[in-house]
Amino acid sequence: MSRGGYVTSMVGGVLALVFAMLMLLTGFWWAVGGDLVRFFEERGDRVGSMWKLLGRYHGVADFPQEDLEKYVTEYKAALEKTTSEDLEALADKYNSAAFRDMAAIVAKLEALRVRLIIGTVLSVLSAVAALVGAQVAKVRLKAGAITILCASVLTLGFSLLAGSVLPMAAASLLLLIGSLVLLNGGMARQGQEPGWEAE
Amino acid sequence: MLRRAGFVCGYAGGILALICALLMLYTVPAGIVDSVVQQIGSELENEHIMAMGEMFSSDGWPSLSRGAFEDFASRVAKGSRLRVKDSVFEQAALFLYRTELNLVVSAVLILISIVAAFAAFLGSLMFYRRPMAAGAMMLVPALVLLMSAIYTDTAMPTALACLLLAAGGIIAFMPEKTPTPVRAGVRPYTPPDFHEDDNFAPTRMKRQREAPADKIRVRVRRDDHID
Repeated sequence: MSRGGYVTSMVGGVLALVFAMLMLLTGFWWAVGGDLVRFFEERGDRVGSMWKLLGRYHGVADFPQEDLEKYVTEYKAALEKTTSEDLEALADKYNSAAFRDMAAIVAKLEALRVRLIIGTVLSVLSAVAALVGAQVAKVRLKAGAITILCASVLTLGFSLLAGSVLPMAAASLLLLIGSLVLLNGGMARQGQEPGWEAE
Repeated sequence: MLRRAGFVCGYAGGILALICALLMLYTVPAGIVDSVVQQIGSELENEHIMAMGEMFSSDGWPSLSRGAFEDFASRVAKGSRLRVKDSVFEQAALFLYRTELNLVVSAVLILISIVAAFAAFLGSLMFYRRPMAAGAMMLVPALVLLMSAIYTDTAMPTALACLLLAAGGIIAFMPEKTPTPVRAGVRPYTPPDFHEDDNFAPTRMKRQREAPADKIRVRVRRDDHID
């Protein structure tokens, strides 16, 4: 077995696993990171009033309350059930650009959420398959190399699904190179008489 | 068979440990936020929240020490227009200090866990070549991972990885099976070489004898199997 192919596949597999686990962060950041930064830069001073209005919309009394625990529990529940439609409704009610911007950000997140979770889980599984394939290649060269090749394509595809393709592309490339080197080594060996080599 | 099982356990444990350690990046901050929100509801009053708001808006955030936070609280309390006692500012500052300390310790633990998981994974790769080192590299990170997982309340997913790593590590420390020693004076069995068959089918020895001197064909070690 080609040592270079094995090492490249292992490095690619570990990188793919790390990037797949970080995909929830990177996917989130690339989807709405820029919008969030712009929102807090432009409308950071409106967050306090938005907080109050959102609470009122969900029937939570304003902040200084007798029972703080009740306020915290109610507001937490209100935040959890807030959707982009609620924010749009608030934007229309108060004619607020800040609520409209936040609604757009939340709508993007809602559209991404399922794809992000599915893409991350499947990318992790593909990376694990690549790592298993690298070990299988020690015993069954062709099977292992094909597993790594498939895993490299799958990790790239699932990272595209999750919207975080750039870091994963490097890992997929390493996996692809590793699998091709392994396959090439296997084909070169098939040309020789099995068990015998000329010295 | 046992050694192969040990390698599989160690390798699977290493991959799981990596996944669990990286998963801590999400579970630990989420847990901290949840516990802080609960503590705000149960331990603090409205005055504490207002005092905290005053502290956040003032300059000169203190370094991570209890004394520095107490000094900061008294400094903010002196310049504050809120009708709140100094002790409230002090309690709010202590709450912030505990939260920040918890965050820093958790961040360090996550970092240590990720490094330990990488060490365990590399250890599993060294299983056949250096079993003792591999065993140590799997057992010690398993312990470190378990401790940090218990501290950060994420023991459930990490426990399986630790179990697998521990199994791999223990098997790595087990001595390899050695062939049974032959008793002195007893000749080991060798298969007979019938010379009358030499002209019928060439034996391996005869084939090697007849190989031309300029191009010697030898059997070579390949894929850890001696043909």
